[in-house]
Amino acid sequence: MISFIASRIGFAALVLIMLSGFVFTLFFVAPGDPARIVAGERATEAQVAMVRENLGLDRPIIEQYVSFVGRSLSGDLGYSYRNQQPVLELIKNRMPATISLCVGAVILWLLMGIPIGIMSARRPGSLADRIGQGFVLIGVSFPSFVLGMAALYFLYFVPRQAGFTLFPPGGYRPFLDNPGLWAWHLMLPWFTLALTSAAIYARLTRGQLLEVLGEDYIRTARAKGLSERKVVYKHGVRSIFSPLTTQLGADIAALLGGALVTEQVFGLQGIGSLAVQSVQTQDRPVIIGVVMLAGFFIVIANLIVDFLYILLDPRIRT
Amino acid sequence: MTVLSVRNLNIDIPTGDGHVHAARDVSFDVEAEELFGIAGESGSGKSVLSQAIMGLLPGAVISGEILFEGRNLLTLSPREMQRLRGNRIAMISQDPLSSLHPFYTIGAQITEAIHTHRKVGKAEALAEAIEILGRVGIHEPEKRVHDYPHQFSGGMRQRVMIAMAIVLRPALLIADEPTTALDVTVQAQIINLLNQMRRELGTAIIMVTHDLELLSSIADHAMVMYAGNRMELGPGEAVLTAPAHPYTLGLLRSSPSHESRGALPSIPGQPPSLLIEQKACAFAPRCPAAMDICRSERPPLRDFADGTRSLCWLENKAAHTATALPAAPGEPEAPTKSSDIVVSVSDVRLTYGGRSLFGKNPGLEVLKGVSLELTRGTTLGIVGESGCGKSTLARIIAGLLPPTSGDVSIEGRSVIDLDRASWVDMRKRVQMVFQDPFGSLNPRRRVGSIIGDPFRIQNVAHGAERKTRVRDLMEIVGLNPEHYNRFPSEFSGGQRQRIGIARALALNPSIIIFDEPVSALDVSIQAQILNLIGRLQRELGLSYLFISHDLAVVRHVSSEIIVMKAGEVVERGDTETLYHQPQHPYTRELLAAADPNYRKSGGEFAAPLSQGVTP
Repeated sequence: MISFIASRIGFAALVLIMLSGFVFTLFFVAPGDPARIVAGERATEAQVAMVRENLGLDRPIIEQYVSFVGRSLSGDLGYSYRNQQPVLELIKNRMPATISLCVGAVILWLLMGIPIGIMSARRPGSLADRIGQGFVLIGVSFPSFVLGMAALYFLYFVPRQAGFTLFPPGGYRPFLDNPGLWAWHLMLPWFTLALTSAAIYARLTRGQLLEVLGEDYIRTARAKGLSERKVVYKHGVRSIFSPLTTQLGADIAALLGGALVTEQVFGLQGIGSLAVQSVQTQDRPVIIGVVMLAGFFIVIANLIVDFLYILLDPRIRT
Repeated sequence: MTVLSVRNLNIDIPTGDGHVHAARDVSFDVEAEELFGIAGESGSGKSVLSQAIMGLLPGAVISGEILFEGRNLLTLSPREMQRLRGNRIAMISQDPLSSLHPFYTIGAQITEAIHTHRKVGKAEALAEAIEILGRVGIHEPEKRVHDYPHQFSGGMRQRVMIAMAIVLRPALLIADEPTTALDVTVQAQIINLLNQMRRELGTAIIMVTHDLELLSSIADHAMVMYAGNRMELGPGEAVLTAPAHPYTLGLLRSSPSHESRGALPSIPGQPPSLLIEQKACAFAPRCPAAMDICRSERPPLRDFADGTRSLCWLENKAAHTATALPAAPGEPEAPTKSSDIVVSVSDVRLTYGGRSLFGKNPGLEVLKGVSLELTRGTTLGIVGESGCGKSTLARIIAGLLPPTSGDVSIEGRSVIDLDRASWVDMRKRVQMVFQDPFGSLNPRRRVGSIIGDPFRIQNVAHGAERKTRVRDLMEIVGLNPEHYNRFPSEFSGGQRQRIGIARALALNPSIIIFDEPVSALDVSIQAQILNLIGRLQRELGLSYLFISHDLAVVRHVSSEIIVMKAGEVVERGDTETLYHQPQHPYTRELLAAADPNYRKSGGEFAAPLSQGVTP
């Protein structure tokens, strides 16, 4: 048991080390001279050489990597080429928006998807099931940028034409300043990011629950005289937590990609838009910082999934 | 006192193909403390009947009456029915491995049943759960009550199921095939326990099973069902010793424990489709005693002096109607004894695991040095309970799995570490027939191409020639060659097993390994397949390795038997010696559990020798 946890954590650390090596190498293999970018188009060769020396780019790649790892362990991820701001500070400033967006969206899609799936599975073929299935079909068919645009048009632009503001068109308000305003501003982005996943979770929940409800132990529960509610929720839904957790681990890993589009549509100053900007300007320290941060969260999400498994399934515990 | 009284029950279940007539005009009474048996093959309606009593058949059209303690269950509201379930009527089902919720402790599952029907405190319910677990034979129940189902063996889980069912002292307990999924030695313990509990608690038990012999030896009354009809009902002893209905007689005769050698008197044909409304006797097309009237009118109910009732046109009991039965066909031919050894296995060992990333661990020893020899033209039976390594041994002999050490030679040539070409060559000599006729055939391929596969793989016989040979094979195993283009789903279990045998025969092998070939089949179909296997051996001079958990089946087909337990051979010998003078205590235990004569003596079973699990 302890060895299992230790090996999981060890594995997670290994993944992060490999990721940093990979990104750092990519940095050097990619075309373009970072010193030239920093120095600017019209700088002389001597100026470029000076910049290169200042940034330590003239040293061997291994040496640069080792010093990068050493500095990042003490919390120093370097400085942006573009405006000389510390990368860590840039990321810190952008974090609240992205975390608000992602956490809210995950909660929203679980709250939408799982109940719809359960409702469908309880009476397959019923009207409720068909409505649920219709929701799934619509949800999975919409790309998030179309959904974002549609949400903006119908829930911001159209009411605006009519003379009132139903939802703001975008922007981020810090939670601590005014929680109500924070939630109001994030409503449309949350919905945009969550709908597709909600549909996928509804489908997954329905399928898994239908399978579980056919199990022998569900018949045992009914034979005990339990109410249908208890049969479905205590015995049925309990069993689908493990597959849902698996899916959630994978989805959280992919969340940053979806957040990127949503942040662009609604003009949220988050990690996603930071990543887009830094790629456009070839701001390599920032790119590395963002990739490492994303990697860190994916690894942590997977660690949590692994531990949740142990909590959820007694068969793994022993 | 009558606990349950079923009157003229008809059950129709709507399906996509039409209404399945699962029960037709079924009536019976169950008295308090009685063990009432319902026997029948798959599709006879016996399980549907028990679910109808539990009120767990949503959507079914049910007419007639189910009177339980004076109330008609069919007129109760779902809420009233729910209050009865688990409280007054309890159920245990077939597979204890899947019938307990894997994520809750057994204590939580038992106390849940208590809390559902009674207002008691947590501590009180737990104490009651511990008490009942002790009564059903769980050691140290106060500790084990907090364990999860996966920490118990199959037999122990069935004990937990029984504990959960009887904890509220129900008036009626329905046990649907309570022992089918368990090993034979464990089966005896469970039956014993059920018997003991009904005496102690005064619970009436309805036991549903396909094993008529087991049933008749313990049941006070036994009912035999066929295609939704109650064919025969009477005192258990009378049904077993003097069956009134030709179907009951056929079932009893086709069980291999009665005839030790030779062809079994099997019931020809297949059970009818339940989608079609029956107008005459459902069994008439397969009945050896069928008369013209049987095929045109529904048979009357006949009462006999010993209390048996039979749904049949015969005026006398089938057991006394000599003409009604075909003589056992074919004399058993003595297997041609020779000293020609075709399979020789010496000291085969297999260990799983053993090496991991972090140093050595002992690994799991599956086979601990097994040796055997198979003489040409004979059958060697391998008996053992689940987990003893018999199927693993079969796969090693067939060359599908390399052993950790030891040697296997087929017709004098070692089959370990063969190169690709000789391995392919060896495959022509050794073939396998698998247990599950439903899972082992690709559902998307036509039967003709499944049987013709060996020709294609080994690159012999093409086009029209291949087709002719496949048709020949189908004829040899008793399939209609015109069904060449059908899919496996269009065949019954027995026919699918014939397909599996035809495929195995395609390349004229000298050795066939049967891995539990009949355990998934009904008794009447099982007899047909065993007869086919015997006939093919005589006609084609094949050598068989026959693996089964069922000692009666193995005894019937084998000239020599080895008994395996936990990866070792504990006893070997020729069939009759082993059967009549077993040396090893484990062999005696297996025999006791499998032999109906033993069961009858006193109705009690052998003391549970091994409480433990096969590791």
